[in-house]
Amino acid sequence: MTNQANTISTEDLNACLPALYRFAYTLTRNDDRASDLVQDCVERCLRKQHLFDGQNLRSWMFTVCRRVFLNQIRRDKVRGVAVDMEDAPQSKLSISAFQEEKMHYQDVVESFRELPHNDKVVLSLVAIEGLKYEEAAELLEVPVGTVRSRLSRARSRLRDLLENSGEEGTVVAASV
Amino acid sequence: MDNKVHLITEQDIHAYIDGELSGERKAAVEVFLAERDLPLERAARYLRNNFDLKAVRDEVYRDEKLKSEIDRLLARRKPRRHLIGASA
Repeated sequence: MTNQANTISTEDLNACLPALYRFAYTLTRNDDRASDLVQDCVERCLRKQHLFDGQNLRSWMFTVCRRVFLNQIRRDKVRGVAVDMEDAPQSKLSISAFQEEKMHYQDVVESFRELPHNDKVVLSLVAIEGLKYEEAAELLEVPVGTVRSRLSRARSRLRDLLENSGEEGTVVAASV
Repeated sequence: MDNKVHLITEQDIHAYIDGELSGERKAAVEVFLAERDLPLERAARYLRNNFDLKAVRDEVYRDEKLKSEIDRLLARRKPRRHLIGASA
């Protein structure tokens, strides 16, 4: 079994693809970008298959996918893809997908605005400022467990608000 | 690798997204997510929300009450030498 750890079979890989695509779609919110992300991810997994420990291919692929997505976000941020209209034709985003993206950001801002103040504070510290839980707890003078539960609550409220803003379901139609 | 059973909670998923987990616990969350579509989708959504909030940071901080509180809190931040370079 351990001798097989360094190779990935096409069958196993194919079995992961539907879930990987759904994961990629949730991250990218766009069909084309999700397909590109899956493609990049599969290529990377095949190139780096010697690093796979042979335990759980699906889990490893999601980790790789998350990493590839992070790299893309950083790269796009440097190039200004998400914010600069002039860069849109160079990127793989069509104008309608780009507008869709802008609307999504607007939904995020508006939904965030609706949150209770404490939710905003904890999300700002952790999600925007990138503080560790321990550090956020120190600054807020609360136990780490309180940061965890506030964060969990804040994210689930934000999720509900975003779902109610009607953003879900419009993306698929707009990106075809 | 071993037969330990890890109970994964909603808060573990948040901790995973926020880079708070390492080692066995992190691996356990990854396996948990890999085998369950709904929690995985939710995790991806929370992950995406983190990027989105960073992207709209300036707009979010137009809320002056929030901005002044965050500034006040961050001003009390102590330098943490042991965290430097510990992100890997």
